[in-house]
Amino acid sequence: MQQARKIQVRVQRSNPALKGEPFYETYQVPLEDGMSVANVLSLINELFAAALAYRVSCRRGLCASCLMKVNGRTRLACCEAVTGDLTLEPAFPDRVAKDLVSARERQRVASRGEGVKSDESTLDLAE
Amino acid sequence: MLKTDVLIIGSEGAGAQAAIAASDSGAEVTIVTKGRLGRSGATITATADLCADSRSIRELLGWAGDPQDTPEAFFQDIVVEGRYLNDQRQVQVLVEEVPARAKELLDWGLKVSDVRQMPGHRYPRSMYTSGQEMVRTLRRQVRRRPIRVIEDIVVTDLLTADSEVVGALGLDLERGETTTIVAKATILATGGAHNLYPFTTGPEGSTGDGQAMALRAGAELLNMEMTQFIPTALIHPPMASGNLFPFLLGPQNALRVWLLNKYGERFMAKWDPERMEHSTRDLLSIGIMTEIMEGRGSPRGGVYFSLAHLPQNLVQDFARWGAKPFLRPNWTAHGLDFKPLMDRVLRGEAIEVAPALHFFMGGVKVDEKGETSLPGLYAAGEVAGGVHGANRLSGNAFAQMVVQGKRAGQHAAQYALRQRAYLEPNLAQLSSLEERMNRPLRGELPLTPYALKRELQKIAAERVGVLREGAPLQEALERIVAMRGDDLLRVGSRSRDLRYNLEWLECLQLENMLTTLEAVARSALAREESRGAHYRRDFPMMDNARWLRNTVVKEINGEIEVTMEPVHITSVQLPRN
Repeated sequence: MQQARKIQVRVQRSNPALKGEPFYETYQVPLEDGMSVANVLSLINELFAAALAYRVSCRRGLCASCLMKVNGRTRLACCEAVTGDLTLEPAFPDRVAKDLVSARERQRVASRGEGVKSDESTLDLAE
Repeated sequence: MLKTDVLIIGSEGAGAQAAIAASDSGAEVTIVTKGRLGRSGATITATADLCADSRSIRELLGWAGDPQDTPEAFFQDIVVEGRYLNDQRQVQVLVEEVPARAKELLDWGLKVSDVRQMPGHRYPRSMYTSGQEMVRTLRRQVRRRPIRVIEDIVVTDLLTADSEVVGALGLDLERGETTTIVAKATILATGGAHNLYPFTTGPEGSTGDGQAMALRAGAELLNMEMTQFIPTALIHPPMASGNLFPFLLGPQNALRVWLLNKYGERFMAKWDPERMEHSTRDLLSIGIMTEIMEGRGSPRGGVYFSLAHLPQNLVQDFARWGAKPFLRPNWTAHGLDFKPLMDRVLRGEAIEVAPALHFFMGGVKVDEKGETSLPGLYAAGEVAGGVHGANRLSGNAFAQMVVQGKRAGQHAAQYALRQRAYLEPNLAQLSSLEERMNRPLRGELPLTPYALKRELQKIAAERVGVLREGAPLQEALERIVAMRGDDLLRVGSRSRDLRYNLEWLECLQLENMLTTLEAVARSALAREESRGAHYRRDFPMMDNARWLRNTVVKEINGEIEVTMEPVHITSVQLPRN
């Protein structure tokens, strides 16, 4: 097998619970033919103990769990083929839970008959 | 601590359907999901048909159906396909109730494109839709009701008190904290254990959580050895691993593909000389895995899927008429672009393919109400076992999902509404389960989960997959038991960050995968015959006289044990030999 070439992957990281500004971390990743951005993220976590947070589910572009900005454009990480250096940023920078993960939906459960409203208020699990 | 009448673990097909039914029955319902509502699980990935008997399709739904068909004929086809291992109580309920469920879904806005006749069905019963359509339709109904949905909760264990299930313990991924939910009734809708195998059509989160939790809580699993494979899935490139794109091209229902080993031989001549590559899925999988395991496969561990014998324009024309609605004329399917691959195929290259795990017929043992052997615990959808017997008909995964989801929801709600008070969780149990959940974060643990997961998957594919045999299964079990008892205690997360720690999650999932794989391997070893999806090289024939019985798995004093139980019959007698 050929020696894998290395690409540079810059990832915007943040941990809103800990405050502080988002910052970029860069990884040198060995690239195989036919890897997706999702494959690269998995490899980064395995090789570098990076603890990058991201979502992947269906792996075929249907569920949009893995939506993120790839080199400035919003893409599905599972279907985006990697051919060179990458800059990865969250799809919705104003509602990040951590790194590349957008905050989950908060659902306020209305009393029966009213239906459910989705909103951004904190879900208190003790309610 | 959250309290709710009915807790549903899993938000997709069966889970959403159960939530809708439970809510409509008057219960207060909470769904928890390890991903996001409408964006997790296998339902959305389905290429997707929902089956009902053809007469009902015509009479109830107004579509082109054959009035000669009956629910009884549908019942028979299901049991024949299942090699008579089906729980006929569940089959009865499915054929009787799926027409009404289909009507409901259509009334809710589900789009169906056409009705087709699929292999194994004597009449056209398959209403074609898509996984996305099904998920959208169900999610809309969930949102219209006062159903609480909490995303990013990984349920790690069920809570029990005096053998009753009283709720669940989970990890809130976002907060990195434990969450305790007390419920009067709990429904498992966690799907199949797809990621036990290295190549799978299933989603990332399907790691056998429901099956393993059920076992740990004292429930039983049924026919875990019945694992369905799609014979020709992509094994390369990494981004398309397990993708069933080649299966859309052929050999069934479409192009007359050739399958070649490394010598260029059409090896299916050894297994089905008349039909060759147009054989049944199980024979194809067996033929392909035999070439791979005996060293005649392709470099990446597959066989060659070739269209080189067909004229280029014939292959190009297929994109315009074939595999609708999933394949588009530009060779894209779902979100993936297969044009570069097809350009190489049209230049004469073959694709490397291998069997991919697609569906679990076996699962948590339930009755026709979706009740497990533990009071307060229900299961619905692919996580539940029995309705499909030894092999599943096309379209019946959705049928199972919508029928069982509703039933489990209704019965769980009724059960919950009869309870006067919540049962208190056992604090000692809670404490012990929390400790186990946190183990990967403690101390200096030398192993990471990734290599162990790959080893587990390799064992699964080579010894507990399409081809099974006594000695390799024994060896697999020895290694699995060692991994569960030893390696698992030394596997940890290198990062101590509690929030959204995917490595911690991998450790927790690894435990469930090992437990579930052990259940599959023990069941496969116990069944000394071949039946449906289960193939033993050392016992290649079906043996109704001795083995027309269920394998049942239970954890007793920390050990997973297999017993045999009779098949539940209602209207179809079992063959004697």
